[in-house]
Amino acid sequence: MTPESRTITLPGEPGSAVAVTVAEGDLATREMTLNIGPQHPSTHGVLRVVITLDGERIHTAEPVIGYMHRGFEKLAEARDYRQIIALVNRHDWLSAFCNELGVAIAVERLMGLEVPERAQWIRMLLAEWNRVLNHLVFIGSYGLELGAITPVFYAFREREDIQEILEAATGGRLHFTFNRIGGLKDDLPKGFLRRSAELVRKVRNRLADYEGLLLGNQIFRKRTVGVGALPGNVAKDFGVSGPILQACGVAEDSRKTEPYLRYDQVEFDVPVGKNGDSFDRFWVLFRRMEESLRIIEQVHDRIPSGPVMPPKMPKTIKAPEGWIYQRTENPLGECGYYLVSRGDKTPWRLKMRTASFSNVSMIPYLLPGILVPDMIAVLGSVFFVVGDVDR
Amino acid sequence: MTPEDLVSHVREATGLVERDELTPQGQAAVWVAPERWLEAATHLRTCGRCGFDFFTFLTAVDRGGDRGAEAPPPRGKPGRAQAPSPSVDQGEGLEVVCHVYAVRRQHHLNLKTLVPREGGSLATLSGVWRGANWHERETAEMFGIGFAGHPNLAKLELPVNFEGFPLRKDFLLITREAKEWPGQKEPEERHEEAKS
Amino acid sequence: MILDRYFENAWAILGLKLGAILVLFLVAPIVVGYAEHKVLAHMQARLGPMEAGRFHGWAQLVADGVKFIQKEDIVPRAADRFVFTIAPVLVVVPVIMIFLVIPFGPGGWWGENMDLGLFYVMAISTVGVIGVLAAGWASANKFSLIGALRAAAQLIAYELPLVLAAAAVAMQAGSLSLVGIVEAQDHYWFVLPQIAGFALFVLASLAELSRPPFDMPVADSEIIFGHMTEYTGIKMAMFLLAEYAGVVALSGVATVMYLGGWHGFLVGWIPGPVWTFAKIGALAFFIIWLRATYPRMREDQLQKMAWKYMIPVALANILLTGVFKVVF
Repeated sequence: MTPESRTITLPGEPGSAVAVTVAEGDLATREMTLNIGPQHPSTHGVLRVVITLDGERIHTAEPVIGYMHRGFEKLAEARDYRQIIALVNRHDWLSAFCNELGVAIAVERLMGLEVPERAQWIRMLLAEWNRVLNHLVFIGSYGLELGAITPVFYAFREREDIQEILEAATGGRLHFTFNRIGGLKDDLPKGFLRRSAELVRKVRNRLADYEGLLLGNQIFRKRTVGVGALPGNVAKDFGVSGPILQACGVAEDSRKTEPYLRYDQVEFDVPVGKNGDSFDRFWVLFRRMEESLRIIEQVHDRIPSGPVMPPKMPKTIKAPEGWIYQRTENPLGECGYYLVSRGDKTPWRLKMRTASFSNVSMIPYLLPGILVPDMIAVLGSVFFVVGDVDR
Repeated sequence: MTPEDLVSHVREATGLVERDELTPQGQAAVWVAPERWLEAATHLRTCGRCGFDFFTFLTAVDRGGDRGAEAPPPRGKPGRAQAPSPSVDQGEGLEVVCHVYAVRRQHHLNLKTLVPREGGSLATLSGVWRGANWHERETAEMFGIGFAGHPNLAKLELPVNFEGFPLRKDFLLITREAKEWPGQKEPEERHEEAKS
Repeated sequence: MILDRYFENAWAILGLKLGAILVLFLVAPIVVGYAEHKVLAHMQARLGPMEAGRFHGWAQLVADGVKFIQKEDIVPRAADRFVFTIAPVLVVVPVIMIFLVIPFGPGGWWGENMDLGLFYVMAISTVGVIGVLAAGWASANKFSLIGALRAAAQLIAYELPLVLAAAAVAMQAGSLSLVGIVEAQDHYWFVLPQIAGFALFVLASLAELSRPPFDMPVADSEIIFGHMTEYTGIKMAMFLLAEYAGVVALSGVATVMYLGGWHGFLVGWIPGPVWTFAKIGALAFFIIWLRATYPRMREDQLQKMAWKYMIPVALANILLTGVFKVVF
């Protein structure tokens, strides 16, 4: 200890008093521990982040998850495959259709089932609408987190329109449960394609407005450009996928690299960002929605007619012995199902590799060193659904 | 690289592969001994031909066996109890699966090993892929597998005071012990039961 | 003076004026609050309140007020009870005191015509921050504390541009009395020569009111509700009342300083107070509009903006005003 410094004991909660050594003339300070969540307006549910603060600057951040753990993987071991479809569309409630898709494809591939052509295209159509539906939530809520309260209402207006047509097709608003092993529950209702085509035009026009409202806004840019930049190699290291990985400049999209359904027969681009900051992540969402609309339009033109279920389906679905990992590009990133079957009606083990889990695990890397307001900007742009994290 | 090439490359380059699997769907897995787990993973990460830079997931599968005397007998009809069929059962214990992906080369690999149910432990991969950190925490709390050298192996999703390892097969769902899940049965099955 | 014609007793006049100002203080925030509900709603493709009072939910804020009064008054156990209770009062009272000096019309439509009116407004408007600090500290809540400290830091940013902008107006008018300033705008409104000052004043007022895009002290998505996090019931209502009354008060001051107060244009038969209220309403609408449009800035960005841009511009504005005064 130099003669100019002194040691002071700072009071605290019982047992947490700390002694600090400070230079003469300086004030003794200690870090403040702050709990963001589990009940906090900007954690989309019940994510909790324990941060230590020096003033408003974050020193350490540790996400605490599990408040919504519902044991889906265990439950799946006691459900047959029909029931699992209804089960898996609940972990990420904003991308229900895409979730179902992964399980359905995994089981079909394991069984060697041929899915009818029309069902494949309808799946693609609905999955892309689901993607737009999902991204609209994040576009709305991200503005809200940065204090722009208007975009969320606009986004939900479009969501309502999209949900209406999805409801017309599937009968569900959130949990569609429209996939079946082998195909789909039903064919599309009459006039669906026409309505869908009208909606594509409508949503596309409105998207331009939102882009101006948010991406073109000076304050929005100031709040997001350069905030929470994530290098691409770190993102891959953490298994971060989807829009966040693409924002880092990595053009990874399993619709392109390992096409499932008929993604190899439609044209679309994988948008990539430059800096991997909050702005790029948000920008990628807009581009992805545009690409989705492009795919939807191509489906409209090329959807074949025919049945939506294979003619001969076994009464009870039993996946043959073996294992498979099936990934799909969900709105939030790579959603994969690692399915181990022992030839039963129920899976022996169904591991859900969810996008949000890996994405959120990267947060301790991204937060230290930034300010509390930026933390909100970063958390909001690490698009996650808490149910998808906790499962 | 095709899965076959990949497996043979890993086999030759490391000399650690005990056996490999290639599924009809074209997915590859290599098995290594638990004590060589870290070594094998490090090769996958650093070798230029493998180039596995994307950490997909790490989990475990309970292969059954050794259910322990305290576990209640399986209820319900036979077939529901999910007794391991001998053909898949290469050994008893917990199978650990680590799935990685190479973004540029676009190939996948499952790295697998088998650890004993009691006191099974592996070296942590969180130094190889940072993403392994949370996946290992999850696997540890769900299966009771230790990960030596892990920076913080605290419970992740379960409450701090939770006892037991829920994803093991000897951990039964409480509600199912009290009442069988009606949805387990096919409609015609229930019909048959009502008749009898 | 209007009242002088009917009343002999000076005390009666004072009492009436105070009563009128109190009524205005209670009614104006409700009108602005209701306008905010409706304007925001229509800007956001929704309807806003439609039920209370039958006609387009006009009584929504009255109903809200009744609800606030009925709510349980909770004081957190760890809170400093006395300071916690006194803080809302500290926030509300300065706003009433600003209302006292705003001239709404010619010939006595004001509470008090002070010679140092402008100076008084500048001084009194900063007192509210003490209430905010007190509330944040006494709540024994970390989010409240962060919010309160942000409010204090914000004060440092906006206060100087606010005062410097006002100083230029005082120079131009040659008076510190608010009535004198309005009378000096007989020929043209000061917004014309003082356009930079007007922009600075409105921006700084927004920061003072913690209104978007400068609502960092209460940023609901970051620190819940800042210093108001732990407040319930009538105390919470007092904070909200102070916010909306503050919108009216600072719009009033801006109207007086820049928009010619009760002076109208084109149509001569509209009485002065109507002009004043119309201008206050227009400014309040602008403030609400900003809330619908802009995201929130960051505290350090506001500091940067204030010190790097607003203060130099304000100083240049004073210089130009001085030159203008000397030359013409």
